[in-house]
Amino acid sequence: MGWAEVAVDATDVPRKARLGAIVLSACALPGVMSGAARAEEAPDRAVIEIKVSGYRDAQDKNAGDNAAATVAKSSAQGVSPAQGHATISSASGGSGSSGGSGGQSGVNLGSNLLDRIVVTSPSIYALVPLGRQWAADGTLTVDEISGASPAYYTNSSSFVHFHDRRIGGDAKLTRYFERAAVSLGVASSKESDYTSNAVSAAARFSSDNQNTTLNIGVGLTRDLNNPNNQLVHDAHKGTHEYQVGLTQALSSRDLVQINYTRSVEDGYLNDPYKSYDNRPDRRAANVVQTRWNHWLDGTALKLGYRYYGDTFGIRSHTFDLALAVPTEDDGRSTFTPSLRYYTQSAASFYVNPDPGSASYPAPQDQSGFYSLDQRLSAYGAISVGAKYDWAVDSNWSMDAKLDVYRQQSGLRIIGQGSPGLSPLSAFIWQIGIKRTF
Amino acid sequence: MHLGLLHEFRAMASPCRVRIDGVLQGDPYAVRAAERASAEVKRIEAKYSRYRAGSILSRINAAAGTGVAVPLDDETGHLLAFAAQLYGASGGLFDITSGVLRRAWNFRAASLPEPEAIEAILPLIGWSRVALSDGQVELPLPGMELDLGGIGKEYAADRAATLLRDAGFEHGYVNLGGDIRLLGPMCDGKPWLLGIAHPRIAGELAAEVRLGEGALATSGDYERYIDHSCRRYCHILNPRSGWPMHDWQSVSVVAPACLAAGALTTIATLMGKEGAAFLREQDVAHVLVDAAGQVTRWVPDT
Repeated sequence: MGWAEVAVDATDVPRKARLGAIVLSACALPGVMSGAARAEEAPDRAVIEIKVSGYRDAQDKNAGDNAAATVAKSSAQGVSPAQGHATISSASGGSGSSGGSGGQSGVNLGSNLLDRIVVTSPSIYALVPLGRQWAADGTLTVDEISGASPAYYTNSSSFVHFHDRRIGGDAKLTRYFERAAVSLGVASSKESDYTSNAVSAAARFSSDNQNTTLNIGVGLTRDLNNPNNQLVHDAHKGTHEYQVGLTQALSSRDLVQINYTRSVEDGYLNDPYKSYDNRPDRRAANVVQTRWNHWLDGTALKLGYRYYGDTFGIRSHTFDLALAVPTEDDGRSTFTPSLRYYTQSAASFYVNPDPGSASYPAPQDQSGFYSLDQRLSAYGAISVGAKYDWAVDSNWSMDAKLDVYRQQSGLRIIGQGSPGLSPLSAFIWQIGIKRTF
Repeated sequence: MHLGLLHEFRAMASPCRVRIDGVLQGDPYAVRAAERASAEVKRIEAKYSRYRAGSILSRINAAAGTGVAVPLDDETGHLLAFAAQLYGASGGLFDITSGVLRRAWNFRAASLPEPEAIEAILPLIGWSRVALSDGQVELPLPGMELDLGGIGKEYAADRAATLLRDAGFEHGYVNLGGDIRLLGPMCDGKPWLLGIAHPRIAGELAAEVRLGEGALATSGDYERYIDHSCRRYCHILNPRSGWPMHDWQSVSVVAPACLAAGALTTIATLMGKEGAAFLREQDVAHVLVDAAGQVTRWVPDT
């Protein structure tokens, strides 16, 4: 029962009038009851966090290594198609180096693997409280990207080599109110062939008892594509994103969250470094993310499910499971193993390889939309990882994270995986150190 | 595995502990929050100490009888306004001007004060004579004193708990010498088992209370007292007579805020036998230990 209810009981019943006077007066003093004070408290200490993360992927040596090479220019602004843009949450920093393209065909990660792309991303995050009701934070990230990427399917003879450096930054200003917080953010990134600028606004509202939180957000991104191959010049892409979410404490041990995101991209959506890539100039996506955190004696079980569907025809489902376990009696560290399963259907215009065709790899029907991009194929993926967090003292903390990822057609459920593609393996790591002032 | 954080310190002449459940013991955020909570308790202690020359209370008391009104900050203004309400609601039994009686009562001595000494002090007691208005307060007579001993510790427990709750900690408690304000139940959702000290046997419990939220405060005749002629004279003094009541060895009250619980225990103690009916009328759960040591529990109908 919340205190508001107690108060109502007390005032509504005349017999309890004196209880109302004493208890309510006590509860009304500033700071006596939670919520009478600021519920959304601005951070009161500054934070600086330095992280280095790395991504490295490689494909199996076998299928798709036969046909002739064609186009040979490349870059790596590729964000896995089902991941969407993260403009609203862009202030969280981190390098968007998931599932790219590219790679060095000569170097082997393992005897049966063909290295593709390597990304190393140092980043620095800072948060500065500005008085009691404001805070500013921001991230600066540099992604060193190199390697090679197939121009079509996973064909190693079509690998195009490249090196690029992406510099990205974002900043956010937040104002804290009694039971709300409102923030405005900007983000920008630049590569030799690609620039992106974004603005975002978000607000969070908490109920009186703070058991319920509503968050809403909008984001606007403008991208400019100038590929090295001069295929297009100043090609625009605009992204609008809208998000609404609800977080509810079901009990003292259970927290559930549901978020809905609508994202619409307009403009040049082709990948200029892929052969035979002609995509619609509009892509609308709906994403529903649900989470359930359950605490048991200090251990937190975190379950998540994410649905993604877009007008390209891609539908994906992601299942997450993580267990945050305190590792020592002194409780300063936590070990979090995690497991993720992902499955997606192919885009409606993804064309399966046809080795028997005379014009391979060109699609036979080139009247409509088509793409040979592996990322738009049907596949499944599993990643297994672990994170270790260590609170050194009240000022310093560190963390380290490792994920191993495997993507292949055969891992797809709900339908068939796309044929003729080499499985992809990736290795993702991150170390971070944080200082609070 | 030891889970949860326990932060112990001494303040307000009492052992104090902040317990945050469901976090790792060294969780830097929790440690920091607990340190802020204890700093808040010490801030309130310093601010309302009668013994610190610079404290707001010392300045108010020093200005007694000078005709000078002392300006109040918001927090002190709120507390004094609350004290004024308690005075009215208790028919004058809860009176923060009664602390001046300690000039006659020395609970470290074995003997009772002379009745004449008490009589001499009584004219200095009476909240109704205090002028509290427009953010200032004036004590009309030289020698008058304000003493927030009856609510300061409880207020500090609430403030410290609020800091922790607002920092997101919803499992644990703040215990300032037996005045307890919960942040919420244990992390598994179960209520805390709170012990009420036995008024006569040190280290023993007279009763246990299961509580998942809210506050528990206790007034007992065992904290400071003089035993004389088979009677116990405790430190909770009736502002009209200057003498303690003898009806309850201890009074414990459960309320949403510790401030409310503490005020109700003091009023019930001073009401004597009527205190039991008063607490039932207030509809607050309570545990009474009467003069014979008999324990009575009462929980309102829900």
